[in-house]
Amino acid sequence: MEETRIGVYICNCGTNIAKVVDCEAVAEAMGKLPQVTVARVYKYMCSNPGQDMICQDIREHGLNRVVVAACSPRMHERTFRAAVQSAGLNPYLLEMANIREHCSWVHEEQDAATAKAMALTRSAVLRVAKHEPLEKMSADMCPFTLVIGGGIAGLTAALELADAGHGVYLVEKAGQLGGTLARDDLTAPYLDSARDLMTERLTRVGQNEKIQVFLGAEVKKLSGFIGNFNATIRTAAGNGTGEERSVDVGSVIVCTGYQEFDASRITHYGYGKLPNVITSFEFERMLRAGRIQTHEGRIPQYVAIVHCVGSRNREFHGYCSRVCCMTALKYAHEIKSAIPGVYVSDLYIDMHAFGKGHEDFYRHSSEVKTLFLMYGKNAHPVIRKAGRGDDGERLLEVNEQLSGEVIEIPADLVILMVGMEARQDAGEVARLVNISQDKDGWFIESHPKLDPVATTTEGIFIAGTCAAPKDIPDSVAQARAAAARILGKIAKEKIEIDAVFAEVNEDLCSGCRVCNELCPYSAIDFDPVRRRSHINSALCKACGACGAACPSGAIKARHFTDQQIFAQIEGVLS
Amino acid sequence: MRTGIFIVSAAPDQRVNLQAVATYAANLPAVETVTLLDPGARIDPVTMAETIRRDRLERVVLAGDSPGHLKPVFTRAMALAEGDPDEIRLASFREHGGVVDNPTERAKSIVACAVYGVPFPLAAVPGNTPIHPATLVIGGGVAGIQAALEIADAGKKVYLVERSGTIGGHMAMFDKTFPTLDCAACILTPKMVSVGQHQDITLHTYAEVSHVSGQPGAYRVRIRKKARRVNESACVVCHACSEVCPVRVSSEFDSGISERKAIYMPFPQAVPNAYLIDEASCVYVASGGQKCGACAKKCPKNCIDLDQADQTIELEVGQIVLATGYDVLDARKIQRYGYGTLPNVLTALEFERLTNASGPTGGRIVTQTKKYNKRKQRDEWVFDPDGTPPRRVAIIHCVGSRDSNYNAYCSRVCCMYSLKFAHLVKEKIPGVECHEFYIDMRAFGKGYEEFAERIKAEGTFVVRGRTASVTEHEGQLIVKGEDIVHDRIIDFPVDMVLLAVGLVPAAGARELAGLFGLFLEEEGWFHELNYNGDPTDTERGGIFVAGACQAPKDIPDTVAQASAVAAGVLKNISRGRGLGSRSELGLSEIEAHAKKIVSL
Amino acid sequence: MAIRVNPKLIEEIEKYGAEDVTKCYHCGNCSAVCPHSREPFVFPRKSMRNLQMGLEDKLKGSLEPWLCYYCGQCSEQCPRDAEPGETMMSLRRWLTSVYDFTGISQTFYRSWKAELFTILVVTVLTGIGFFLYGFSRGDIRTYGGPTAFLPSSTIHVFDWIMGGVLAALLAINAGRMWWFMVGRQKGLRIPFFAYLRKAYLLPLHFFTQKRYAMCERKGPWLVHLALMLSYFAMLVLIMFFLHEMQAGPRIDWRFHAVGYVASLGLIGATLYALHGRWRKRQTQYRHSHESDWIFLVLLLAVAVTGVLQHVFHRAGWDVAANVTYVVHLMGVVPMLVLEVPFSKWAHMVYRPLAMYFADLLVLARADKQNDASAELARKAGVA
Repeated sequence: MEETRIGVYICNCGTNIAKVVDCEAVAEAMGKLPQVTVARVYKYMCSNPGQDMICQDIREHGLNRVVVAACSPRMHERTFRAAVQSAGLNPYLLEMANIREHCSWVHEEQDAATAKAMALTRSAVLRVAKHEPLEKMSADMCPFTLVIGGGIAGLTAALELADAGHGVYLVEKAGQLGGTLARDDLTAPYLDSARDLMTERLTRVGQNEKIQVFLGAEVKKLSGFIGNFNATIRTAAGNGTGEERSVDVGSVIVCTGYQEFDASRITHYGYGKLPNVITSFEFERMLRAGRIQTHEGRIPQYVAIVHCVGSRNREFHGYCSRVCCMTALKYAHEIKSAIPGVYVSDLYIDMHAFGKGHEDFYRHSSEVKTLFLMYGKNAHPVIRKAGRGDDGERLLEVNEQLSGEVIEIPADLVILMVGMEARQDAGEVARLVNISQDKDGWFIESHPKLDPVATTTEGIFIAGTCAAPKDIPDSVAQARAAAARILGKIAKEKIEIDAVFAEVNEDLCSGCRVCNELCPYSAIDFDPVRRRSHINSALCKACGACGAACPSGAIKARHFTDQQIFAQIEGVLS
Repeated sequence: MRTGIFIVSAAPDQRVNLQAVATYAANLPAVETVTLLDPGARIDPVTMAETIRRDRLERVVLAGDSPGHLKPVFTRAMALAEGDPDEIRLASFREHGGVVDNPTERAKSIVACAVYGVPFPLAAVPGNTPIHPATLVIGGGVAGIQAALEIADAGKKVYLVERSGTIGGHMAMFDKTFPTLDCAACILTPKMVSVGQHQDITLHTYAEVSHVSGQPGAYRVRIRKKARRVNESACVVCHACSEVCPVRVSSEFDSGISERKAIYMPFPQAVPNAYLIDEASCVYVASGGQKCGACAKKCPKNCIDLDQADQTIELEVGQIVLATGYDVLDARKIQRYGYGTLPNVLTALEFERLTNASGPTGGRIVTQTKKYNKRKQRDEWVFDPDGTPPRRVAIIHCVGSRDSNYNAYCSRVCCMYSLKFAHLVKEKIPGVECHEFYIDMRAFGKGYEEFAERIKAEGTFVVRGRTASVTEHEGQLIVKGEDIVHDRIIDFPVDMVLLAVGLVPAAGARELAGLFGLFLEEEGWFHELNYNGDPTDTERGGIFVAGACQAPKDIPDTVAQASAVAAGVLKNISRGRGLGSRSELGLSEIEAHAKKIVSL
Repeated sequence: MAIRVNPKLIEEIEKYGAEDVTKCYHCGNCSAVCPHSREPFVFPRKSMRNLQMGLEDKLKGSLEPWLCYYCGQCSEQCPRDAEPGETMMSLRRWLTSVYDFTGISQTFYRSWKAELFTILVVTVLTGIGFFLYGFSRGDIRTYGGPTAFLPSSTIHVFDWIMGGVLAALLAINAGRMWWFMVGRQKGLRIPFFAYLRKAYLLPLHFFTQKRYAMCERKGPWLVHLALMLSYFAMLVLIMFFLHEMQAGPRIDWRFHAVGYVASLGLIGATLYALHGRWRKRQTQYRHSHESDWIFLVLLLAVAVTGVLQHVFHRAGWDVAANVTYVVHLMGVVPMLVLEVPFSKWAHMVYRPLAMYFADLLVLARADKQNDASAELARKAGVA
């Protein structure tokens, strides 16, 4: 057993760390620790020179363990593992101490912070001494993909993969493909035909033999891990007795889309009670049929459009639904062109005309005399029945922000721009494919900025409005982004599996099956014959739940062994 | 199916010869009537219904630049005439290539498809061409980086060409990113580093595309590499050279609020991580090798070659990704905000650098102080790390955006970054007063609205109303604007004004478009193949656009687009063939194809 | 009680020249650049808003349009080309017709044909009238003296009658203006002596146009001042010293001087305005309502014929002098009878009045607040 030679590297992270922690002092203290060969400080460890410094030391001082005290390992563990590996060191012989998020960012008092930084780094040093070299493993990548949801995102993703020559299983819950976009007539801001877009996608999907479509179908079960999933698709046949089909896929794209907010939840809009108060989706139907009229069959003379119904308010959803503003402008425009001489008023909070061509469209609809009325957030307009002699059949009363007046405006037809919300069954889907949802029920991406389509579960991707409200171009882009990831993986043919996972010592395992239920990644199965539990290393995320629970101490989490943890604790306390 | 065609006059410049289109359309099968509508005329559903009834039309085709605006009239008319409202078809010249080499021919084919009831993109599918497996990515911002990595991670060859001395683009300059407030460098540098290290990516910085030839799937691209004059691989960034360099010019990376030498590193984490010489300011270069040359003498690894010349390289690539990003509007254009004349009126990028830990003040937000510059022998306003922090800050939205006098469009990101600024100011300066002047608070993205609420909760005053002017009175900045919601004129002193300048197409985008035969919007953004359906493809086969060069975009949307482009690229490579250019398609081909689809 | 929005009003006011009001998206830039826009009278955005929403009552009682001199700053900086300046101009036209109880003004502004026709009719009648009168008792060959074709004494009397009628009409309309702006406002009481105390404002604003001078560009103010001072000078000369001017052959040099200067002022300013509206270079001249043209042309005609008859008279060509005199009157009469009370000219009364009222309103509001605070203080005292 060669002697342990540890290199300790403390990062200033510009001033992120250095402004609170005396990095030099930390380095000095670490230098004194047994087995520590070098301890250095640098402005940006993650930068090329920083990494080169480490590699150089590994070669020159023959380091066989490395500790980097910097930001969270979530941020840069990969970077530094790659670095030490490039210098011929096993990547698992690296340990990071988080002295930024856990220290400099949350403390102000210099000395105390420095002391804490020392403790954290010390514990990393003691821990790393106990590290063992681990080897990554690899598995095959199945070139087939499961796409859940047949809306614009799902269709686009499926086509992208199929056109590349890979098989796709496209599962749609409804009886036909198209999703929510299929209901639309024109698209904002250029008033292009939504139907042509749909027809184009649907035809191409229909003609592509690489895509197998399951209509009225649901994914009942998903097991396995990236590159090697097995999905059970259940199709409800005509006579109710469905048939099940199991398919092997390498990746899954979730494009389950959104559902519209239920306007009747906002009582003072009287949706569902008052006639001629309708939702945007009901109005879209009128448009397609070419019959914009009140439920008495009259041509409306006054139409009011109310924005942010269910969006951007405390009571219902805090977020903005992103597409309603432009859709509202589109409606204003369509009403004006279909009914000459009609008066359209548009009640909004902020006009979100942010995309390409959007502002022009907004400008244009004000040129054609749409009356824009601004109301305050959480100060919604009230819809009343109009009295005799009022022009309209309803009256909208609103505290108009741009004039500061409380005004009322007649309306024969009130259109509520209902927002988007996460589908009721989003929870099930999330559990099924084992991804998480945010407080609003949208699926969470692995990084909100630099990884918007991947999820925390490898091989599972999200695209379109199931991740958050989005317009068509953005959904299409995301769908393709997801496809790109998968194409990349397929091209590689193999996928790497992290070497950190739990394993069962079968001699100690009593077959009590406590762990089986505990595992949040359903990575543990039970061998009824040998009465032993077995852990699927590829599925295991090394959360440690099983290890902690195992009554007979049969489960050991690699890279999180008891000795390593004890050493770490000792380091913090000493 | 008895079809009636109504043609609405196209854009004023009359690129399309409508008469020709009409004559052509009249001879299409089942076409009963072709009517040229006067764009000014008020078109009324009832009269149209009569026309439809009279001519017993079963299908109506609306043709024009964007005929969608007439569709509701005809849908209603069709309903009144008891026809099928679903049989109103659109032939939109703008959507399917209003800006192409031969608009009239294109218009004819678009009308033909509509008459056959076939979506244009379905019929107008260019032939396949073999694809060279290598890809060229132009622009080393976050879009370019993402696209390059996405493609290279699939094991495919990528050439990344960047105009400046390092990759990273604008994002590298940012301090924190909205709405999650994680620091831009922290999330970008790992990607930059992996681009630098990636075995399948060849990086050409300080280089520009000078010539393009060939056809889709097999492009020959000539690239002019400007002389870096420093050996990238040999340089160890010991700073010895810059210490002796006598020249001082304002630093692009710090957007002018600090100085750099003529031999410089754009910034510490630059990739490639090596010095370069700016020939424009280098004394040696200027004097034709007569003067200075100190750096070369000083360099311990003598990796400086002051006489290095530009070189040209030829690349064979199958596909090309344009990710040339944006520039910010020159705030000097808007005199009434006093930028350039008044100290402490900053643009967004300047503030990003000011508040950035790696910036000239080490992240301290301070007002400028007058200092005597010995070299230039005059007083100068500079950001001194020990300067006094502002007590009152005004942030002005929509600077040059949403304004017909400058950029009519919305720049999409300013609202959010302005709110971020407010947060940073509040976070770093205790007791500071912060005012945001906005028109509409466009917080549309995931987590944006919540972020906006948080900023308000932190005590930033948001004022609905655009600032009319920034003036100076006895050394004090005065902002003037209307506080619309509270119905008063605001006219108060501040110590610092931050201008949320809008985005404009990157310099040279027009030239690039020319080189690649691509089309630009009026504003100068790249024109995508189809706004909804193909937001990242172009008329030219195997050429894609990603990120802000197509229109202003925030980071998540840019990244999504970059990856989307990668999908297109990888798809073609794995098929071994890609689509040619739409413009190659003749009218007859498209029409024939449409016929075939219908017969299926 | 909520105010009812009336989207139709805007169509009405478009007839008065408002074109781009609906383009406004309320950034507030205009209100902030305008030097006249101060609490409690913040404009033009607020007026644009009331117009977009068709709050007719508010608009009727608004004096903001009269505080605007249309320097054009707002329109130039407007990010949406909503032309706030032109909107204020149109509102002034509309308000003029609102104040006018006869409804003539409304007819004129809505149809330039009607205006022109009426003017022509009046012109012709005047012509016929004076010729008949002249031939019936005078001698076309004599200009001055007792046997004059149109003896100054008669014209003088005629002038005064016409002046009286005009004054009456304007007084009534001004009264209506007061009612809309001040009178009908509930809970607003202005003590009578306040009216007196502030009365000096009327002549002040009338003669100095000092608020116009606050605009960034001073040029337009000077032109406007020249025009209206010349006009006033002429008015005085004609009303009080007509006989002096018609008395031949020698005229007191002072009247001469004033007359020449005033004539120059009138012609110069009118030509400047006409040229401006023709070239459309300056913002305030970009848009011209028909009434603007009619007014300027009429004024120029009157000024020129006025000068001509004087010249002919001095040259001793009395026949020509008399004929141009009648022609001159054929312009003067419709101008005074129609333009002054029912069209553009009326602003020379409404503008100073509006500024006068503005001060009174500010005063009243201040008092109100004081009362309120006093009330509070009293309550506090009791407690």
